[in-house]
Amino acid sequence: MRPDLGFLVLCFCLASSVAICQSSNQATPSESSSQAASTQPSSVMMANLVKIYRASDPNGDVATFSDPAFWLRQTVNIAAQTTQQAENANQTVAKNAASAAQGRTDQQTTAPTAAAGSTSALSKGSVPWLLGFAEEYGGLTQSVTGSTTTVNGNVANIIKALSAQTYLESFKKEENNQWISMISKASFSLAFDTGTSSSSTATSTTPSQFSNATAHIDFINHRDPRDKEWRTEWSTFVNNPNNNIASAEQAFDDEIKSQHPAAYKQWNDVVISTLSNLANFLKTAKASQNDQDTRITGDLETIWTSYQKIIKVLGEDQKDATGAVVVEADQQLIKLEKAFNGVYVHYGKDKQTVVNEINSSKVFSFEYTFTDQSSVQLPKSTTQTYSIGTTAPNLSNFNFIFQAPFLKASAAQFIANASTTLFMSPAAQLKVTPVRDYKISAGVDIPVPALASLAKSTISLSGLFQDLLQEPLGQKVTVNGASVTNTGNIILGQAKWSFPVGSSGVTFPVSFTGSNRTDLIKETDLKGTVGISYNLDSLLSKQP
Amino acid sequence: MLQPDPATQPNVFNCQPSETINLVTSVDKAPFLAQFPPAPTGGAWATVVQDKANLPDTRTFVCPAAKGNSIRFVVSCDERIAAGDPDPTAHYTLTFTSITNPLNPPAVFNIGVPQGLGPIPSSYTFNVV
Repeated sequence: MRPDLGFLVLCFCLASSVAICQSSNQATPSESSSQAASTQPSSVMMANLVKIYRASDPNGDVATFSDPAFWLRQTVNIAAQTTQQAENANQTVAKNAASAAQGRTDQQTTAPTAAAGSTSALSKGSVPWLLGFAEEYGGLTQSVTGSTTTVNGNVANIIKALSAQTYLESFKKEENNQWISMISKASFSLAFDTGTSSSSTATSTTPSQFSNATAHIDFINHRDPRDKEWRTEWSTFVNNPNNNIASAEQAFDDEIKSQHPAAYKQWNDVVISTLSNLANFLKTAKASQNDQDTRITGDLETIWTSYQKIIKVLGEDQKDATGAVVVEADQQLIKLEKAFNGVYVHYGKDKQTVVNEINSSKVFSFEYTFTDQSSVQLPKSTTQTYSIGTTAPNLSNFNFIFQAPFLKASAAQFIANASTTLFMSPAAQLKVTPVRDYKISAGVDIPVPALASLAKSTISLSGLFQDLLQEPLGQKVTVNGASVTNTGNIILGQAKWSFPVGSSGVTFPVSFTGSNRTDLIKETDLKGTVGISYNLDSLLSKQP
Repeated sequence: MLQPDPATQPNVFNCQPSETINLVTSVDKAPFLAQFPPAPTGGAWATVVQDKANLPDTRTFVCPAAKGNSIRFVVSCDERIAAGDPDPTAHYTLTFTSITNPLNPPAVFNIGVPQGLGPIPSSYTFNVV
């Protein structure tokens, strides 16, 4: 599948014009004052309130929903939520987890670069937590013409997930057991050819045939918010007085409760009565899930409307029929509301800083890929003489991977690979030495914010230097869709834009490549490779 | 510390003058992102112990000495749940016990923070009777 070049250039121009940004998986409080926010509850807000209600017990619900500061937060955050989460208005809670997984730029769901059929110029240092599945079409550095299906997994995590009752429990098992911890840093990848193909250097393969296996181990990887590496950062964040939302909320609560006890009591009576009736309804009525949600939504909207009325009364001058002010607006309340907004914005930014630090922390990994070519018969060669039916030697690829932040406090990622590929057990007739090639590559992943109707995406810029010491036997080495058979140096440049399709876990990458080897460029200096990859972490996290 | 009435206001307690109350806050998913004000309104934290390794926060406060007064505070709970969590909600448990009257049953509050919807505040009031 080839994209329209004009469309690709347009997309590339759009993407490249976007500044490096910070990634975010949740709504960030708006800088604007809550005064400007709409007082009408949006469907997004109500859906979120239902989730919050469902997540607590009746005691917790009362403690939360009878707190004026809770409703103040809804007022402050309503604009941000509307913007950030409109696309998720009717989605399940589990889809939020899928979105979070998509926000991680360190996960690689495509086949490792040493594997045939990969569209990735670089290997990344982390794999999906549970299982990754990628199917790619076309290739970049090495490929078969058909498609490749890759399965990634982490044995320890799969076992833990199946046996542990909670996610944290599974992580604690890793933290408290050195053996599990060591296994958890290792993962595997199996790739199968799902289509037939042929090439200039080999005839290959039958459908659904084993293609290659990869073992991956992380020497350094702390990209999990639960990792004890980040306890100090989280503790510092949550104990920073400038981020103390509880303090700002308490001041707001105190003002209402101490200065306007009658108004507060009037509102609180509505809250307690509504929540009590709601709890009884849910406990006794045999209503369907939808009917329950409708009832919860209606009751919480009643509380919201009641809160809005009281805040409006307290925040505005009350006048008599002649227009004279009889009760002045509570300026202190307005001041505390703005102060809360400021703390809330600060809180959101600081939290995102910690998240960015985690997501862009250093990763150092090693990857070994074995490529099975035992069923690949070599065609006639101009450089070697061997009998018909001679099979290609298997391949071993050793790859070191390093990832680090590209810029401080940004989510942009620098990635570097250093690898070599060896011929394994070549037939006696083949005149080859063990080392096929050396390769060094580097690049940067730049998260791109949502553009118009497009979701958040990632631009990857990468370069590659490869010294091909011997003619490839079996698996092709290709650049820009052209097979490399001549030995010598290869220089490759690639720009790749990967954007998710909705929140389904599917990403759609578009890439541009160029090379110093003019013999590799057939028509133009620019050509694209398109692949579709799936991250099963996203798909499996869906709830029925 | 008398148990609050769940039918009226389960987050409002009656307590004795100068009664010492213990509050333990824990979460089932790291990181622990509960916040407390520097001091409750109408009192102060008598002790604060934060266990970074095992997550719970333990603190005590003393109810006012004079009847008719109250001590109240807000707790803010947040989450940062790892990707791929099949239950993307951080469950905070707040357990109040009376140190002065240890035989009184504890009061337990469960606050759920769905992914992306925190921080969630909750308020607690202790009236001296």
